[in-house]
Amino acid sequence: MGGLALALALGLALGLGLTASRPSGLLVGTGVGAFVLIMVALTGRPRLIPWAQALLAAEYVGWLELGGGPIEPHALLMAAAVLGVGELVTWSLDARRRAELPVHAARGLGLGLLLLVGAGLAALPLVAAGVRSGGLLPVVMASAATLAITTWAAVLAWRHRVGGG
Amino acid sequence: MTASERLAGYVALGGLGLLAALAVGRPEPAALGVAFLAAVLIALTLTRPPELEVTATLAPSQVVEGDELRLELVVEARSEVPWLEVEVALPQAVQPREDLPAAWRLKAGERRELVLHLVAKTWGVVAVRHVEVRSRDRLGFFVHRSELECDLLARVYPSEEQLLRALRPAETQVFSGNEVARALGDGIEFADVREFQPGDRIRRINWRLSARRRELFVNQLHPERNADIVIFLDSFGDVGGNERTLQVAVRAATSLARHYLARRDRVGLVSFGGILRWLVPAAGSIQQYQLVEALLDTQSALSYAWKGVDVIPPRTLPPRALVIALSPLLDQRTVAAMFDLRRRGFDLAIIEIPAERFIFPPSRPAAVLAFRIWRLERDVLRHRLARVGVPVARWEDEPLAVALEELARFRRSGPAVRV
Repeated sequence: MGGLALALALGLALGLGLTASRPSGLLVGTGVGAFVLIMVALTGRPRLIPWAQALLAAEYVGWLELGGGPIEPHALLMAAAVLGVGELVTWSLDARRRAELPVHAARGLGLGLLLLVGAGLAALPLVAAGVRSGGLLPVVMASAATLAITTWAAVLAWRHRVGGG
Repeated sequence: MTASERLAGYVALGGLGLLAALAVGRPEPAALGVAFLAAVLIALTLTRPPELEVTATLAPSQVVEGDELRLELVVEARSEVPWLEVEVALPQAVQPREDLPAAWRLKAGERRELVLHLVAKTWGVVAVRHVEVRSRDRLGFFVHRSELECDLLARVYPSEEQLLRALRPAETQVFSGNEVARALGDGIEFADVREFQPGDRIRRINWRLSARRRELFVNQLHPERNADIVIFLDSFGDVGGNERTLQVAVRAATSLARHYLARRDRVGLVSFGGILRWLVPAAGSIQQYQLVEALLDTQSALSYAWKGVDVIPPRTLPPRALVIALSPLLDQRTVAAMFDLRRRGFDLAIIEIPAERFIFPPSRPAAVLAFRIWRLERDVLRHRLARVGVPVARWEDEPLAVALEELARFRRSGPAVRV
């Protein structure tokens, strides 16, 4: 799993850095930074996983900014890939504890479903952005929805006493 | 229940993605953010504490060193547990024969039995008090820990060496036993003959001698008496790593106690150390159990207090008792007590548990020199003890009977020379 996560991270980092419409050292550096963080995280530092994912996401946003153009349809795959990198690293760290095969089979299935659902939900903003609309109202509503979803997730997380693990 | 740190990270990434989408005016960052928030919501929605029932048993409750204990854990799940791990806090006295089982998955209503075979390495009380059960959700977002408070105890008795012959005491007591007394009296063992005197029993007449000498002679016999044995355990000094001098000494004490009790002698115990423990000499199987229990509780305790034999209750050291000391001869308090016992007229023999066996020889030149001086000082101490009539036998890797034979030889004909 660790190797797969590294390969995926490297693919994303290099793919985005090399396919940008304008060459950018910052973009490549961000990707390499994410890759290095993934490598360090695999040595037993799970705290670094979200930071690596943030760098990959930042590289993607930079890639979009450099490229401009219409809505990128592969964003949902990118979302699933960035999420998958973190999950694979976590699975790799958990797999250092010995576990029977059905445990890993169930986790693999769960991860597949998570990525599928994540990609499916990630498609929603893309579809919504495709609907032509105008005025201030959609922006206000989108901002409110953003705030509400983030708050809801934060409240749920707080209730579960976020700690180590 | 504790959540993985990445859960908080995903919440932050989700929020950032949505905000970035607003900032750059593109929907793609929002797509990334939504994927992370979806993961968080799925994790929080699907996670629930596992419903587990765990029971643990440890059997048998009494074993001898080297035997096997069986720790059985039964885990029953009322709801599905995708990832379940069990961790048992094992004492150092036991060594698991196999690794703890790997994490496994339990379906709702499934029951699983885990058997862990533990080899009892050293004597003592084995206590298993905590069993931790950790369960994770399918994606490892949450870890639920539950601790089973159990009080599983097993007693590991020291392994014994079967002794055919042990050290004979110089003096015997008044009760009947298996030891041939030096005194004359009613017994089986022939001692001498003397002229018949009025009141002598007819059956004692030595007819063969009487016929030859033409006057009556009677046989004199040695009676069989019991002896008082005091095992003097030095718990001041305890050196070693996995195996320690005190552990070895307790094994020897157990063997000696069993041997002498089987001969109907009275056996007592003095554990001379930071904490003084004693057991007044007595005979019988009850005493045997009491001795073994007392030996199980033996441990070294750090103390700077100077203790002499005066602190030992007088009844614990009865007159004419044979005192067998088991000591590494490291602590000056014990050595002083040995000399003091001898001065008080006790029949004393020392089985030395050589500390050299349990320590690594030094490698630095100065340390090598110091080590040699230390060993010479120990030789001097042994000679000093021998000069006052106290035999010292070093018990190396050989059977205990060899050390006892060495003591017996000293008592017969002076000190032996080890080559």
